[in-house]
Amino acid sequence: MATRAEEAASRARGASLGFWQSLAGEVAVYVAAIAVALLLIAFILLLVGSNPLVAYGTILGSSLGSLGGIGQTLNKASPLILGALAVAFAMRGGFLNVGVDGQIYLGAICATGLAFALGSAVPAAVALPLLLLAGVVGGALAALPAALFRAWWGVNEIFVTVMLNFVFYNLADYLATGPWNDPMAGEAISRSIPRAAQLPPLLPTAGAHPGILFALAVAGLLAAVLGRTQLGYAIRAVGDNPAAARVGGIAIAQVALVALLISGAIGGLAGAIEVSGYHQRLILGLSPGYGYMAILLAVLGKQRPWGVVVAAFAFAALVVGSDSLQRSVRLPQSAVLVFQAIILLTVLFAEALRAGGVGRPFRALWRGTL
Amino acid sequence: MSADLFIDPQLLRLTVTIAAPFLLAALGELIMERAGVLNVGIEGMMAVGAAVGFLVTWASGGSYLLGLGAAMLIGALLCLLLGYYGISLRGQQITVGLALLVFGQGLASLLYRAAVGVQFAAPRVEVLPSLPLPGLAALPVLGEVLFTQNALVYLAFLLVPVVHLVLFATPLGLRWRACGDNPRAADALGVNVVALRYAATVVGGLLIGLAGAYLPLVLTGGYSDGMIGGRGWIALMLVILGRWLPWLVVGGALLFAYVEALQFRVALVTKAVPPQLLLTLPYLLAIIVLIWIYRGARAPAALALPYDREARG
Amino acid sequence: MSRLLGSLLSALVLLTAACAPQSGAPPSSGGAAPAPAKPEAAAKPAAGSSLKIAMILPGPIQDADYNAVGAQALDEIKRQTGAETAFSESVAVADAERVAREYLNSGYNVIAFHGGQFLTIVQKLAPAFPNATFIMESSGQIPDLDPNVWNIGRKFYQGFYVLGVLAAATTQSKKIGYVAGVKLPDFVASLNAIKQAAHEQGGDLQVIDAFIGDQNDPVKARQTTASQIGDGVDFVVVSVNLGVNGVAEAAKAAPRPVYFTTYYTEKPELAPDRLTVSLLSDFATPYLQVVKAIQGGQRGGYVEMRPGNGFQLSEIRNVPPAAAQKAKEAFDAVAAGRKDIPEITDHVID
Repeated sequence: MATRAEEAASRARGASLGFWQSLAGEVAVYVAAIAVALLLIAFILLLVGSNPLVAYGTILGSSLGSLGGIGQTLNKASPLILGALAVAFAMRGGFLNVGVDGQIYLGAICATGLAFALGSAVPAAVALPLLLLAGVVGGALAALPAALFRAWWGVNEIFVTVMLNFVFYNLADYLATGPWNDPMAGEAISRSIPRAAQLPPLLPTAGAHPGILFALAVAGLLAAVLGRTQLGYAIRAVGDNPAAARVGGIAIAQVALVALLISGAIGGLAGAIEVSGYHQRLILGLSPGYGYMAILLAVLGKQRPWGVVVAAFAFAALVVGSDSLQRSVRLPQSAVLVFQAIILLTVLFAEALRAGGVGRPFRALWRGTL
Repeated sequence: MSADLFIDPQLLRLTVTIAAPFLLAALGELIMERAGVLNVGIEGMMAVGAAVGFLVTWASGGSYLLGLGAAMLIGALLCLLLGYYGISLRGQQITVGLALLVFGQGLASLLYRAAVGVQFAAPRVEVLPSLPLPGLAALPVLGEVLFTQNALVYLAFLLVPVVHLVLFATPLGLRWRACGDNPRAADALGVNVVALRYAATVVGGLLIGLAGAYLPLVLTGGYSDGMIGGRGWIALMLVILGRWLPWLVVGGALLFAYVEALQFRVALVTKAVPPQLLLTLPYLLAIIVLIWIYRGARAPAALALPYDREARG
Repeated sequence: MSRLLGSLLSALVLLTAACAPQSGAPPSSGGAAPAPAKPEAAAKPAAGSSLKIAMILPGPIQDADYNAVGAQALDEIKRQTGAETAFSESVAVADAERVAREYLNSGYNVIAFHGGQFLTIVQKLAPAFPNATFIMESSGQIPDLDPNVWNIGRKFYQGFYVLGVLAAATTQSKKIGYVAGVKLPDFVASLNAIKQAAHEQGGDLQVIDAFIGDQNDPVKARQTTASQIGDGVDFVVVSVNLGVNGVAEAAKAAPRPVYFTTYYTEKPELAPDRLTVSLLSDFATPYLQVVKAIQGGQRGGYVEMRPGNGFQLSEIRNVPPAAAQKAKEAFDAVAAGRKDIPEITDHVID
C-alpha cells in the first residue's frame, strides 16, 4: 500500500510522461482481459454451433454501428453512468452506497408525483427543471436515513441502504398499481406524465433522450468538486486515511452526511431522467439492478468520474449489443448474462493480477463507530 | 385480530421452516466474515446451489444426498473463486462478489435450461420429508413447531451452538477470529492467515450452496429463475444484524421469517393497508432493530481488507 | 495457479455451454400440451414469407408456463404461415423498447409483445414505425390505438369465473382462497368474478384474497397459501405464474385436503391429487387470427381471447362429478355468450 509520500510523488510525476505510460498500461490490461474473454466466449459459441464472427459483428453493429443502436446505447448509458458516479463519489470518502436502486425509485416517484401535481398547464421550461430537482431531492431523501445513522451513530450504511431498496421498490409497486396506475396498461405502470414534463428527445429517430448529457455534466461537476473544492478535499482525505483526517480537524460525521446525500441525489436524478426521458411513466422494473452494476462500474472506473463514464459507457454498449445474441445466434438470455459476467470477471482478475495485489482498500468501509 | 393470529402453531412451524435457509446462508457468511472475507454474491451462489441441487436430485431419481452434496460443492467452488481473488490476488472482495452474483444467476438459469430444456411439464421432485423427533414431537406446542421439521432444519439449528463453540471456545476459533480482527498480529504469532481464510471461504461456500438447494428441495419441489428472491441479501444483512454472533443471527433469522410469515396473515385480516406497503414491514423492522442493537457492535476489524504479508505497517 | 484456475473455470463453462441447445428449437411436448389451434384454411407458406415476426417474452421459455405458451404460439405461427420468426426471452419492461427497436432496425416488420406490460412501449413505437405492425396484449380494448396496432384483449376474468364456480361447488369449509401477484385491474376483475361465482352458489361462502407482489416467487406463494389454509381455506384459485409451485407444496403439506387450480398450461406433475383443473391458454388461437389478418392486409384491429377463443378447461380432477359438471356448464355458457359477468377492475366487491 503506497504511503502518502509515495502518492504525492506519483501525483507529481503525473504531469510528466509517466502518467500517460501508466494510463496506457492500465488500458492495455483491460483490453487484454476483454480479448481473453472474447476468445473464451468465441470458443463456447463454436461449441454450440454458432458463428462467433456473426455474433460479434452483430454485437458491435447493434450497439454502435447504427444510429438506432447508438441511441439505445446512450439511453442505457445514462442511468448506468449516473448510478456509477453516485457510488464512486461516496466511495472516494470510503462509504459504500448500495442503495442506488432505492434512490432511483424514490427519485422517480418524486418526479412522477410532481409531474402529476403540476399538470399539463405548466410549460416545459418550468416543469422540466422542477422535475429533475424533485428527482434529486427524492434521491437525497432516500439516502438520508443511511446518511444520518452513519453520521450520528456510526451505523453501517450498507445495511440501511439495502433494506431501503426493498422498501422503495415496494412503494413504487404500490403507487404504480394503485393510485397512479394506468388501468389500460394492465401492469405495474403508472399513467403517462404530462407532455410538458417529458424530456425532449436527443436523437428522435433513434429514440435517444438527453439523459446522457446530464450524466456527462454530472461527471464534470463531480470531478470539479473532488479536485478543486474544500468538500472534495475533505471527502478524499476521509477516504484515504480517516484517522489522519480526524486529527487534521475534518468533521468526519459531516463529511459522511454530505457525501452520502450527494450520492443519493445523483441516484435520484437518474430515476427522474428515466421517468421523464425514457418511459414517461413510473414503472416497476425501472431499475433492473442498476444499483449493483453501478458498484462494479465504479470500481472498474477506479472511482474517478471520467473513468467511471468510460466503464459505464462500455458496459452499456456491451448490454445493448449482447442482447442481439439472442437474435443472431439464438442464445438463451441466461447465456448472455453468463457472457457478460465472464467479461467482468476476466477484467477484474486481469486487473488484480496486474496490480500485484495493490488495491485501494476500503478502510472506513466496515468500521462502525466513528 | 385476536392473539391467535400471532402465535398460531402452524404459523410458527412455517416460520421455523422458512428461517432455515436464511440461517444456513447467514452462518456460512458469518464464518467467512469472521476470518475477514466478505462475500456479497450470496444471492448468485444460492441460485446456482438451487439449480444444481434440484437438477442433481432430479437426475439421480430423488437422491437428496447427491443433490445437496453437489449444491454444496458448487457453492464452495464459487466461493473459492472469490477467495482466490480476494486473498491471493488481494483484490476488492465486494466487486468480485458482485460479478460472481451476476455469473451465478446466469449460470443457474443456463444449467437449468441445458438440462431440462423447453417443455410443458416442469420437472419436480418430492420435497424433503419431515422428520418428527421421537418423544419430542409429542410436546404440546413446541413439538409441532420445533420437532416435526425436516433434517436440514435440525442441521441448521444444530450448527448454531457448534459454530459458536468452535469460534469462541477453541484455539482454532481464536486463530480464525484473529484472521478477521488482526491478521498481522496473527501472522506474527505463526497463524497461517492465508490458509485459514481459504478454509473459511470453502466452509462458508458449502453452507451457502446448501442454503440455495434448500429452497427447491424443501419449499417448492422445483426450480424457477429468480426463486432466491433477495434472500441472499437478507442473509448478508442478518450477519450484521446479528453482530457476527451465531446466537443473534439465529434470532434475527427467526424474527425476519416470522414477520414475513405474519405479513401474509395480517394482509388477510386488514383491508385498510395496501398489501404492497405491508410487504415493506420486514425490511423496516430490520432497520429499526439494527439501530436499536447496533451501538457498540464491531465488525471483524480486518473484514474485506486484503492481507499483505510483505507490506509494511 | 491463476492459469490452472482459469482453465478450470473455462472447462466448467464449456461443459455447461456444450449442453445448451440452441434456443428457438420447438418445445418438446412432454405431458399434455394445450389444444392445438383450430385447423383453419391455412394460408400457403409462400404467402407468409414476406412477414418477419419477432416476439418479445417477459420471462424464460423453459418456465413451462406463460412464456412457454408464448413461444409455442410463435412456433404455430411459423408452421402455419411460413413467416420467418424470432424471439427474445426474459426481456424486462425497461429493456423492451430497446429490444423492439433492434428487431425493427434488423428488418422485422411485425413485433409481438407477449404480455400486458408493454402497452406504453407500443404506443410509443407504433407512430414512429408506421411501416411495421405491432401486436400487443391487454385486458380489453384500448381506445385510440394507432392503425398499425393489433390488440389482443385477454378476458381472464371470464375464465376465473368458471374456476370460481368450481371452487364454490367443491369447497367444504366454505372458504375459498385467491392467490395473486401484483394487484392489477386484470387480477381484481378475476377476484371479483370468483366472488360473483361464490355469491351465486349461495351458502355464505367466503373468498379470501392475497396479493403477494410477485408472480414468480414460489416461497412467498407457499407462505401465503399456508396462511390461508391456517385460516380455514380448502380450495385455492391461483393467479400467480411460477408461484404456483409454492401453492402446490403448501397444499400437499396441509393437515387436511386442500385443492387448487392453475392456468396457462396443464402442469400434470404438480400435486396430481390436489390439482383440480387448469385454465389452459392457447395463445396460438388469437395470434394466428391476427397474423392471418395482417397477411390479408389488415394492419390493426381487436381480437378477444376468452373462453371459447383461446381459453379452455383442462380435464377436471379430484372433485365431485357434480362440481365438475357445474364448472363445465358454466364454461360453455360463458363461451357461448349466454352468461354475462361484470368486469369490475377498480375495486374489490364484498
